[in-house]
Amino acid sequence: MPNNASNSECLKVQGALIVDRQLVVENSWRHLATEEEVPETGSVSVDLARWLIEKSQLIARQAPVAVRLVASDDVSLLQDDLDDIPMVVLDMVSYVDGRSYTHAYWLRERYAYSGDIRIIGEVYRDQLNFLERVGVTQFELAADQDLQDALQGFDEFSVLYQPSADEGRNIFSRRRASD
Amino acid sequence: MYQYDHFDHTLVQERVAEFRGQVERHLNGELSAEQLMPLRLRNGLYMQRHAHMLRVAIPYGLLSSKQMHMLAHIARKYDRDYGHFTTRQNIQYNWPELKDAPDLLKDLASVEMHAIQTSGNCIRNTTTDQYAGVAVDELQDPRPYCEMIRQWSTLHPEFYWLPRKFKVAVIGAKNDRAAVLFHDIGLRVLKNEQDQLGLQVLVGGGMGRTPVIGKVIREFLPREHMLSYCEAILRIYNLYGNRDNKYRARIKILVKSLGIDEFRRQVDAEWEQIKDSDLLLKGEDFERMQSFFSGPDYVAPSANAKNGIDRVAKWRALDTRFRQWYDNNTVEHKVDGYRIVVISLKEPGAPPGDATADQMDHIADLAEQYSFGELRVTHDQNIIFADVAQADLLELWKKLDSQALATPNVGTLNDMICCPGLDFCSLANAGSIPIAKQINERFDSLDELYDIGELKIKMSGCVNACGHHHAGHIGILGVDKKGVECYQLTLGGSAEDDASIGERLGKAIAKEEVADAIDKLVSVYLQNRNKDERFLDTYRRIGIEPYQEKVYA
Ligand code: HEM
Ligand code: SF4
Repeated sequence: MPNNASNSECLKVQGALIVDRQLVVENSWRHLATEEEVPETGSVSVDLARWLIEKSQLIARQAPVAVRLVASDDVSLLQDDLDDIPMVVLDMVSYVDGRSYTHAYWLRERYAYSGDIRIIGEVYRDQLNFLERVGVTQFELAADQDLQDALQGFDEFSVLYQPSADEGRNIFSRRRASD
Repeated sequence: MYQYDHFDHTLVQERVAEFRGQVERHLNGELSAEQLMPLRLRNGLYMQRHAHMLRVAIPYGLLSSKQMHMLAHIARKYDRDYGHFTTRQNIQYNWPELKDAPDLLKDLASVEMHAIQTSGNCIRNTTTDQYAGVAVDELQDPRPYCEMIRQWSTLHPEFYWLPRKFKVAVIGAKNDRAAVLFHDIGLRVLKNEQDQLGLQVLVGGGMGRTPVIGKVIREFLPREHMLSYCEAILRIYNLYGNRDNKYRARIKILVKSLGIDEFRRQVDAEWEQIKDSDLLLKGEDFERMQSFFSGPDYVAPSANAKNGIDRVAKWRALDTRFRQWYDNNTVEHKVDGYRIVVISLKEPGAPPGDATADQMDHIADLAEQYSFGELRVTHDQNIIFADVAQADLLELWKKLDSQALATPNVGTLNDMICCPGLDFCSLANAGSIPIAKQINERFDSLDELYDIGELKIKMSGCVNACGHHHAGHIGILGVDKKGVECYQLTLGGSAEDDASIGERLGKAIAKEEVADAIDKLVSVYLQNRNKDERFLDTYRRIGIEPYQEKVYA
């Protein structure tokens, strides 16, 4: 599957992000562009195409390497490598493209991935809740978002009607159990 | 009918609060109009030609009198005293202000209603048979299934940003009154040879600019798997549906390009992974849900009521207007001594599907009095009282008649489906309401309408086909020819079990000539029909040429 979009230019590293619903100011991860050389030190993410080709060197690297997927990438190509990947980065090139949600869901539920899943790109407050439900744990918000305010985006709903990659349960099995 | 429990109440209230916050952030300048757009769409709020439009879900068409009063209240408080009932069992308000929308939604929530996912690229309001629970040809009541789908699909975190909108319909009767063959997912409730309850699952039907009839993806799915199977379909669609071209983004295009067999293979592979997950339903879940729809306590006609029934029979014989109404606007009920009453929202001259606030209040009161406090909205844009005692019909008719709600034209050519068109819709190429009016004026004799019999005219103001023109016995599509409104006619469509897509008659015709052309089409039918043949059947027998010759002569 083609590996398009924002890989060609270096993605901006932002200073702040949300990890497990906490504001974290130190962001140590660099998202390397397609042509960018892998530095010796520091945590980096690489795109899927590079990962598939350079897998063995990247696994041997001393510092952590995450794999980055855009919406059109085939997440199943990672399934046998997940034990070697400390973090999967989902690059939301456009927030109206919902494929990354299924990627996260599959990572958690189908491939039982337990590492971190970080979302980057067009990440806005009003999507955080659903992103968390499908299994995302780290959020690099798009520029100009009020981070403090964004934290409230997680708590908007206390009722969940369906299971996903979270503690949500099928509402009908819940009702059955509460009889 | 379904009653919210604390989960449901909490969810809609939290939803209102969330949207209130979003609107506030927008009004403070923190959220641009562009950023607000997809958020407001998922709360039913569109931007239209003149103003915002708010679409409220009426899940599977069912309303209590109390809810109908609330719809009237909303029409008065936030709109210009009316609302528009649509073919998708929704009501649309054409004039609310953005800043008022959260209050409007709060009012709705107070009567267990919402506008969640009534627009935007997500799973929409599930629709069904308007005669559910009372139809003589019913095998299973589809409404419990619809309500379960409603809950599962509401704020589903994974399917909120689909390639395109997604519509589900369920039918549980022999005759398909829910157009399941024209939905993204269509479900038919049925029993297999072992007497097990399950669903035939159809996928990839739709109208729009490329009309497609749905295909069977599974002949029999035990009903316990309903949600997991739908989820598997949605997941494959979410991943592989086209996202580059919105005209190729519906699931019908994916199913077509993969082929139904390959699509099924992918869905089944996904389903294998999740079928025994927490999504697996149990018989008791259906039973519990069914108990909400068990119907009112029907009473066998008492001696007193028998007199009433006799009086109805007598009046039918004596009073032509009453007889016309009875014959056209009432339908057989599964329980002896009751009838289904259809209230026509097609009073000639009024936009099809519109109702004023006063009419809504009046209808709500009458439902309270004569139909156990419940009513339904139909995909033909009419309203139904499902459970009227035979003995009450005469009284009810008089009351409806006094409010111009007894127009005896249900099922006739004047019972048209019509989208908002150029009068309200920003996508329109041409008007549709004025065409409905033109046709009404032409066919103003009830005797003529009755002689013509069943003839479904469906009209859309542009290729998006909100008025189902592809499925009309006569379809009318508004097109724009160098800035002039013109109309393309199609013949032979149907949305029922014999589903078919209408065939183009020929080149588009001028606005003034539409009623003339309909007249000509009807005359060809009248000349050629065999005894009891419907318009559609004559057309299917004799083909399109005689009609073309007449209209383009
Ligand atoms: C006035 C605002 C409206 C707008 C902007 C609008 C927009 C659209 C669009 C763009 C489509 C095509 C979707 C596609 O094929 O991908 C569509 C389809 C449809 N709409 Fe509307 N619509 C409006 C009102 C209505 C009304 C009033 C009704 C009911 C009377 C309605 C019912 C439908 C139906 C039944 C379809 C076709 C079925 C299908 O989805 O394949 N819409 N609408
Ligand atoms: S068919 Fe076209 S004109 Fe009519 S409501 Fe739909 S989008 Fe608007």
